Formats: sequence, C-alpha cells, structure tokens
Amino acid sequence: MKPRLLVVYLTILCASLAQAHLGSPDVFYDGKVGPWTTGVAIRMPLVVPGRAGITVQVESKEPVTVSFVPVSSLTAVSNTPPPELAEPVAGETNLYSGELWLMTGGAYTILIRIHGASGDGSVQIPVNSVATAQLPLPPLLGDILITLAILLVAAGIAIVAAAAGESSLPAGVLPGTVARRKYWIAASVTALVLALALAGGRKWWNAEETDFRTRLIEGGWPNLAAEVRVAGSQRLLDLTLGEDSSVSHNSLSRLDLAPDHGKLMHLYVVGKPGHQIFAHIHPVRSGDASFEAALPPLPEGDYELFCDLTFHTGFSSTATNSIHLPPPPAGNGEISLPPDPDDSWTLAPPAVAGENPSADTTCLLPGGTRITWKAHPPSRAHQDAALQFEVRDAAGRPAVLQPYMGMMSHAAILRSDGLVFAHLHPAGNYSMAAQVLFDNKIDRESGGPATHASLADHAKIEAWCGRSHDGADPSLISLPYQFPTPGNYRVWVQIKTGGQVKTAIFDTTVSPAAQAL
Amino acid sequence: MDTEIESRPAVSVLPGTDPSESTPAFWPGLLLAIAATCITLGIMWDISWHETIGRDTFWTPAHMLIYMGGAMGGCVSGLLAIQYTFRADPAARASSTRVFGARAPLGAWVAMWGAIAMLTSAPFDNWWHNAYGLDVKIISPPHALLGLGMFGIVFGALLLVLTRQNHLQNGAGSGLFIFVGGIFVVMAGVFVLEYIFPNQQHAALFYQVCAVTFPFRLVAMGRAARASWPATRTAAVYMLVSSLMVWILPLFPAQPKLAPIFNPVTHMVALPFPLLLIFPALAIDLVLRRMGEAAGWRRVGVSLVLALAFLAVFVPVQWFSARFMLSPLADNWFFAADRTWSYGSRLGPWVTEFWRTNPADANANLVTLRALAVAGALAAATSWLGLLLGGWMRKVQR
Repeated sequence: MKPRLLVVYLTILCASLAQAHLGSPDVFYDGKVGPWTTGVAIRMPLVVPGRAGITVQVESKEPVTVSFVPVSSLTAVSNTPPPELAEPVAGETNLYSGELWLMTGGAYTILIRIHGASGDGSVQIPVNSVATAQLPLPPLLGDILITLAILLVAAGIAIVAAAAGESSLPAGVLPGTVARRKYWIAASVTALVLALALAGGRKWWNAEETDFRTRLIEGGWPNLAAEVRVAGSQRLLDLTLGEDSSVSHNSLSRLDLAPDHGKLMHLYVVGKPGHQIFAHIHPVRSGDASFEAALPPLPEGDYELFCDLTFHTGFSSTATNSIHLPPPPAGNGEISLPPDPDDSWTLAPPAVAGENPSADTTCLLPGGTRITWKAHPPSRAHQDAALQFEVRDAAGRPAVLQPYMGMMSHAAILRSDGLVFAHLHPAGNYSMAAQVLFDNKIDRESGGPATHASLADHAKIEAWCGRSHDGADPSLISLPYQFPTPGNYRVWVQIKTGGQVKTAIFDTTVSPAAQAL
Repeated sequence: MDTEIESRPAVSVLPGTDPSESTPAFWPGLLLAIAATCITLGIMWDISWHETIGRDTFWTPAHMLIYMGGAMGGCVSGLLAIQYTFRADPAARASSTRVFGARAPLGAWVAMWGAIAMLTSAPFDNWWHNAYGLDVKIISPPHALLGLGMFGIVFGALLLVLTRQNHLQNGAGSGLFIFVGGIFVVMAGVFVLEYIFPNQQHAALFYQVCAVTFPFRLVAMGRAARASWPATRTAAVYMLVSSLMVWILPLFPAQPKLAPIFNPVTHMVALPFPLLLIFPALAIDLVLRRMGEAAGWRRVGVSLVLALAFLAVFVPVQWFSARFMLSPLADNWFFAADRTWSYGSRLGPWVTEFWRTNPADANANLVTLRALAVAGALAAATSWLGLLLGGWMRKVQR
C-alpha cells in the first residue's frame, strides 16, 4: 500500500473508532444563528449508519424554515446531499425537528440553516459518527423470533415432505409405501439441511457481532499510557497515545492533533475516590505520540485522567487512564518544563455538600468570588440540565468575566462511577477545534473567502460566548447540556476573573428520563 | 380420513373423488403470480432506489411493493388453506397436500412459508438495523431470511400455476407458468446482480456465477413447461421484464439524499441491461427436444451436453455483447449503459473498462480453459439438478 493511501486508511480507521466524551454522545449548541438566538440538540445514533435526531429551538416571533445538511470530513462539500427540511413540532412554537442519516463512521458537521423574513443564518456543529453502544435483543422480541423460527423449521420440513410424498399423486390417490418412504426421507434430509442452516446462521450472526464489536467504542479512545517521573522540583507526567492500540502511535503522529482553544491536549486530572481534587492542565508534545506536562501541587494519591483530543479530521475523542501520583518533591530544584499558564486546579473539597435544586446553590471561592447555580427543576436525564450560573465578586456585584482560553467559561461533568465525562462551554459541548476545521473546509471548498477562524478571531469568541453578548448580564453563564443517564454527577465550572482562573464545584443527582406521555 | 386406508401395491383412491374434477382454479394462481411479480419488480426498484436516493426509511414505495407482494402471497395462500381445509368438497381436498393436518395445494404452502419468513424478517431486520447500523452489509441474516421468504413466494406461485398447467390438456395454463418461470429467472438475475455488470463479462467469475444460476432454472422450466420452446420463452420473459425496468426507471426524476454524492444523478438509476439468455435458452430447448427424457447415468450425460450447449452459446454471446455495452453506442435509453452508476460511484475510465482482466494485477480473473472447465462442471451440476427438478415438476398434481 502506498504511504499516502496508508495515511488515508489509518485516518479513516481512527476516525471510525474514536468517540468524543465518555458516555455522552449527544451534542448541544446554544447561540446566535443569523438574527435568532437558537438552541440545538443533536441526538446521536448509537450505531453507524444511523439517524441523528435534531431539534432546533428558534427564538423568533415569525415562522422560519430550518434545514440540515451533513458534511463529512472525508468528502468534498460539493458531494453533500440536498438539505433535509425540519418540521415544526406540533403544539410547540418555534420548535423544529427532523432526522438526518449519518452513513459512515468519522467526523461530520451538521450544517443548520435558518431562513425567515428577518434574514438567513447558519451554524455548523461538529459531531462524531461512531457506534457507542450494543443494543440488547429485547426478551419479548427474542421469544417471538424463536417461536417463528420453530414454526418455519417445522413447516419447512412438513412442506418438503408433502412435496416428496404426495404432490405428484393424482387427486384422491392415497400415499403408498413408496410415497411414504419418500416423505420420511425428504423430512429427514430437510431437517438436517435446516439444522445445518440454523447452525450456519448462528455462526454468521456471531461473526457479525464480533465484527460490530471491533467498531464499537464504549469507553475512552485511543489507549493512553501514563507515567510520572520526578525531575528536580517537578513531577512530570508522561503520556503516550495509542500504545497497545490497534493503531500504532506512529500512525497517530501522522494524524496530527488540532489545537482546541490553542492547546493540543486538555487533560483533566480528578482525584480518587470521591473526585474531590480537580486539575485542568495542558500537556505539550514531546514525541510522535508522546506528551508531557508539569503537574500542579496535587497531593499524593490515585487519580483518573480524562484527555480531550481533536484530530485534524475534526474527530474528537477522550482517552482515559488512572495513575498514582507520588508526593510532590521537596525543595526548590531545577524546573525543566514550565507549567502551561492556563493550567488550573482546585484542591478544596466541594463547597456544595448536597443539592436543593429548587433554590439557588452557591459555591464560595477563594477571594470571595461566588458562583451560584440558579434554582432549577430537579435534574432528569435527556432534559435540559439548566446549567445557568451567576458569578458575583466579593462585594456581591456582578463579576467581570475574562475569556479563559477563548471561552467565558469551561465546565467538566463527571458521573460518580467515572463512566460519563463531558467538557462543556457556553456555546455547547462539541469540539471548538473541530468547528474551526470544518469552517475552514466549508469556506475553502465552497469557493468563499477563507475565514481562518481561530481563537484570536474576536467574532468567533463572541459567537462562542453564546447569549452573554446578547444584552444579557455578562456575569451570567449558561451551558447547554442534557445529562445522558441517571446517576450522581459532579460539575466543575471554571471562570476567569481578575486574571485568576477559579473553579466551582456542584453536585447533582439526575433521575431517569420522564416517560413520554 | 384418508390416513385410515392402508397402502397396497395397487393404487388406493379415496371414495367419492374424481381426479378429472380437481383442476385448480385460475384466480389463485394469477394472484400469486401477481404477488411474485410485485416482489421481483419491488426488489429491482429498491435496488435502483438505493443507488439513486440512498438508503431510506422502511416506508419507500419500493419496499411497499415488496411487502404488498408478500402480504398478497400470504393472504392468497392462507385463504387457499382455509378453503381446502374447511370448505372444499372431497374431490378438491383430495387434490391437495396435507401439512400439520390442514390441506392446501403445495404451491400455497410454499408461498405461505415464504410470507411467514418475510414477516419474521421484518422485526428481526428492524432490530438488526438498530443494533448494528442500517445495512452495514446488504447480505445479513435478516436479509437472507427476507430473501428466502421472497423466493418462497415466487416458487410457491410457480408451483401453483404449474399444478393447473399439469391438470389441463394441450398446453393450456403453460403461458402463466412460463411467465412466472421468467419472473423466477429475473429474481435469480437480481440476486447475482453484482457479478453480472458488462464490465465483469470478460472475467471468469461471471461465467461461473451464471453457470450456477441460469442453467438450473432454464433446464427445469424447459422440462416442466408444456409449451414449445419453453426455456426460450422463459428467457424471453426474463429479458422483457428486465428490459422494461431498464427503460422505465430512468424516466423518473430523482436525486440522492445521502452523502457522499460523487455522481449527481438526476433520474432513477437503471439496472444493467439483461443478459442475452434467450440464445443459450434456445440451445437448451434444442438439447431437451432430443434428449430431455433421461434418468440415471443417461441424465448425467444429458447434463453434460446441456452444460456444453449453454456455455458454447452463452460465452461468445456475452463476450461480444459486453464489448458493445462498454462502447459509446450503448449509452442510450435502450441499453442504458451510462445510466447504471450509483450516486456513490466516482466515475472514471473504469466504467468503460473490463475489470480483473489485466494478467499483471493480483486480482486478475482471466477466462482460461481451466476457468471455463470449472464453469462447465458447475453448469453440468446445475443442469442435472434442473433436470431433476423439472422432471418432478412435470408430475406435480397437487
């Protein structure tokens, strides 16, 4: 295979395996689309090919037309299908919904266009198309299928036997000895053939199942090896992507990572047990697929690692591992790797011991800053998580927020068992780097001016900041998200004010989704 | 109470029955023939739909046509079972076959089995799509079950009209039988569609696949139909029905709905122009006229002659017609050579080239003497099976 083809193949392979976030495949967007403030929820299919369910809430007093187009990273924009029109949801105002086929695994962006009397607008929201779950066979369906299979086998034997035994007899002639012998021989041979067919079918099904599981990623990807070494006065964390993976790290190096908020890697280090300690750091590349980071002064103990990556295809994934940190070295030794200036951490236990969603819940931060999770209905899976926060300074005035890596806020969400993890921003929970990559692809291939959207692009930051630029209180933060499953969750909300990054911690218990009436 | 009578060397006959009064009715056979046609045309339409518009919901018109055929087949055969079991007179009951204590013509049982298989495949396939993705592979266990069900209905229709033909004199009823036989061959052609594009007709696999598929059906029809030139007529039905689909489908505007679109088609994609089976079928008829009645080792000999006759005509006809099909002369509404490429095809020189014919390529599949010998052995084996099936079909009375 030619090297170039190999790269393409490996790119496709990796794209088909990776998964953004953990256990939280759905994608949410909140922001301006043309003149309208818009909220988008994309319910991702669990398998590929599959249908994504999309709902769009448009804050508009006029009826609008909403359409969707899937744009794959692997094909030219000119090869996209015609737009799929969304339908207004009955009984709702300005809520539109529709479905979109995602035919192949890999990175896509969903281009959403809104047209109305006030103008036109569009936004593209990157998504990952990958199998993330194994659907069990419902017991009732299994019973029905077994019953029908028994019927088909029994009827098949009886029909072939009848064909051999009496079908060629003239009307009224009863089967004689020869016919009966034929009947039983045919029945026996058919039974044998059908038994072999059933055995073959079972083997075939198992082979399909095995093949599917090679494409199924239920946890983090790619493999992440982690080691800590002490160098001078620092503990350095060495990370290697792709070891022991089906894709060697040589291929990973060729894939290239795209910087997200100016960083190739966002690493969340969360203390075990109880997820009390939290750090958000940014390792730098030290080799083909190797990264290193200077660890902040986290105490000795066990930690979980969640490593957010975006590949140059626009595919984002989260790699995970666990590690034991030794105690911080004493003394003022040599510093071999300067920490990233945007690294942040908190060693404090959660300020919120419990949760009372019907009242405001406030987390008091060092320096007197307070972040308040506004009162909201009890959290339920697959419903708006109502992650709206108000930031006040020590004097109780609305705090002046500063962009932290291009965002007015970053948030991380982790379920208590560590199996659900998501990284949120006011604009949504998708990869901003992927959005930039697709922006460039669409501009480049549509013949329009290249936007070169980057974190320095003020207009982008404004857009990413969601509704905060829309005349609302700039100290208010709204994070569009829906918890994917019931359970106990911890939410870390990070803001920057007075030049310092501050991290608030909240807990919430998420109930199962309400049953549809 | 037919089972109470002991079998004896002499033929036992149910009292009060007269074989001459038990000719099956025309309408059930016609309705099952329509069901079989709906299914077969539905599959061809569905393939075109997938190649033009892409994979779609369950509720496409092509799917509806297929399932309408399945439902019609199930209903007709179910009604026949009810009629023959509970409402028929003794003569009619005595002209049916018994399955699980109920009575119906054999064709009705086979069609009913096919309808149940199609019914079973529906929830199975729906779950399969949700569990593993929509049609990740077209040939999947639920699709195989669906295919078996569709085959069951078409074969059931064939048996039902065959029974009527075998009861009538002077070849009456053989027209419908030959029509359904043609549909039976069309369905076989659809199942091997991915091997029979003109571009593949200079590679050995094409001839081997065709040797497995077509002599079996044409020989069986040639033996079973009570009309002159039955295999030729059957092949003519195959060619006519397939050609009609080639001509009609591209008349309808349509555009792809799924990415990536490499070939922005504007009308329904045509299936490849049918194979020129009428010529080898003519050879089969000629052989069967002279030596159709055969048994034992003589049947093996006839099979070898049939295989030789089939390939001696089929290979040169397809070899040279394929050259024409890849030339610009075939890029028109009649042959539709330029209208068979799906929306996902990246068009290039390969569309007018023969595939797997370069000896230097690792996947070369050349038509050598050895490859033709394999095709001949396969054709002989399937011809033998066709003779066996056709001989049995000639005798089917119920």
